[in-house]
Amino acid sequence: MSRGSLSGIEGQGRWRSRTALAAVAAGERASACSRRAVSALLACLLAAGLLAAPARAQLRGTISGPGQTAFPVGIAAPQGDAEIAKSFVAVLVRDLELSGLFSVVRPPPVGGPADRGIETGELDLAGWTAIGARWIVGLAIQRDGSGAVGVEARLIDAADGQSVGGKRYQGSRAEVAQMGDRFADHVLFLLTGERGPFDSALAFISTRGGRFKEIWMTPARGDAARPLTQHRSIHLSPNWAPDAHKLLFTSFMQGRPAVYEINVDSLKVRKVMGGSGTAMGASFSPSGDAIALAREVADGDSQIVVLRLGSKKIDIVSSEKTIDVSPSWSPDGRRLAFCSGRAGTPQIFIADLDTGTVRRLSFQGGYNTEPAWSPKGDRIAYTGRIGGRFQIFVHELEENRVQQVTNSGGDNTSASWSPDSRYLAFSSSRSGRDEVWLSDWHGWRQTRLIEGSGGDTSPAWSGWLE
Amino acid sequence: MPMGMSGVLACKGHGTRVLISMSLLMAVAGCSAKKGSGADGALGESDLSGAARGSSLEQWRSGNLGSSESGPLESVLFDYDSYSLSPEARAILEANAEWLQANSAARVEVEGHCDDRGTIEYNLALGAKRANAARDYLEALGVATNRLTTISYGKELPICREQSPECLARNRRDRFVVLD
Repeated sequence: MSRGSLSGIEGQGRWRSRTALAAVAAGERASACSRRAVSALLACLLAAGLLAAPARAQLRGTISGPGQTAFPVGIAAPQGDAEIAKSFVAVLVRDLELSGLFSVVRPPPVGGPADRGIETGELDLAGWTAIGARWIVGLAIQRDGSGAVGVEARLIDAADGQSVGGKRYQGSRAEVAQMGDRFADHVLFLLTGERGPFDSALAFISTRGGRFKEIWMTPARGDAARPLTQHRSIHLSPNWAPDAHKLLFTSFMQGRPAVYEINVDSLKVRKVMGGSGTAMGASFSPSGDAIALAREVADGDSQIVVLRLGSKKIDIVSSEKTIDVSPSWSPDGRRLAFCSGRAGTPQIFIADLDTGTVRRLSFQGGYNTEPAWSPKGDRIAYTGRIGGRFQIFVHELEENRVQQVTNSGGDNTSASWSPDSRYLAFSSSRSGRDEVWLSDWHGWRQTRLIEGSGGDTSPAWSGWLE
Repeated sequence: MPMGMSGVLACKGHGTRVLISMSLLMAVAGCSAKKGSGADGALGESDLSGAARGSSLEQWRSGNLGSSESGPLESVLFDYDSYSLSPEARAILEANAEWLQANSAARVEVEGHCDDRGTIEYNLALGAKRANAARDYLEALGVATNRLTTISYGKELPICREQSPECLARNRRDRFVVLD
């Protein structure tokens, strides 16, 4: 996954510019009946936290009315290099379908839309509308002799052929997949007003190389995993730096559990903290200049500390004689959610780093751990035990309300937020083996995220790569 | 392991201790401690003591986790999400303290382990509490502080993979590793 050389340009090329964008995002365009229906759909999605409700439909077993269907999108036959188009479209389709916001309309083998090109006037709008597409993606691929690739991608309203918006990407052949991720994120932006989460990475722990627990990494779409470590040891709890170039992790690689950092480009590893006692569960502050972690102190208790990277100073955040673990930063860097045994059972607490005060957040259930603060700051996901199994919960801070996200067989643990705060990646054993799953934060639509044959746990979702 | 069996296991443990002491003596006397069975017969026991000295991590790395769980010092078990020492655990620790008094050069690492019903980091901290609980009791029984170290493996190194209560109970353990 590269950054830097891949450039994206807001489309102002030969296609019409995206005049419709702002109006569509605001749900105000209502010049035609179909537009009103779209607006109603959008308003409903906005009210539902920008998520379509196909899963709600699953839950209730009914599908009716706006907000109960995903955006139907068709992908017109791309112009230009077919091989590059194929890999771009495969990524785009996977991302759009994972998002739960889109259904990709596939033309029948015969009698589908008869496009003459991808320009306005060349697309068979009636043909696309007839098979249910409300939007059409048009693609034009250029490839020059030096191997440089240009992809121009547009989202077109099937009702009138107008461009809702577009992007032009330039980069190498190896960057085509990332272009697809970026455009998927842009399509989400065009239709919901908020960028999608797919131009990002997932780190996770996997035993897929044997019994050892190594760190792996994949694009967020979960279909291209590669190992970052081959230490034949036990690595745990990966956590991204804000720049998505480094990961903190906990490891037994030198015998005793300690905190390390790995650069995912160079694969260089350095020790961050560790000695005779356990150091674990480290997390970079949102500004990247501090690391919160749990370290063992006298009597086997553990405390939360903040290591200031500039001054090397260590601030002690919690000093109760108990188990305090798993710190997670608020996006403003002024508070830490963590798990503490101070109330007799593991529960979620929030420490205010300015005032030093600590308040308890979770009160339901007897085993609440692994808090994960959403990048937007308004929600904390955590793992709680209910009915003898572990499930993912989300605490909405403003509303002071708890939602149960998962309710499956097996255990669901280790939730990590997507950069847009819409989704959670988490470990699930619901299929009988350990896999990384994806859900919108309501839990409406849940699907396996990382391809593989099991042994995958502890996902960590990076911020956007760009 | 049902609690009612602890008496039987303690006896078995004594038997092992005698053999371990013998093999240590032979090692000191310059005998090879690494012969197979056959002509030397009883020397086969030295394999057991050698393996038992290995940390659980070393055993796991070589694919032998749980192959020689007890060694000269018997493991103690804990209730779910607990690090308090039961009367059975105290009895075992008292026997272990006796062995440590009798083998005054031995240093021991106390490994704290958990079953898999819980989250990774909390269990890593819980394992540290379990290891410290046993170490504190051994110290209270007169074992010198500098002979004891602790480490937590959390829920990472289970010796039993089934989800039965008996199996989960075996994983919630402090294991005692005699260091070389």
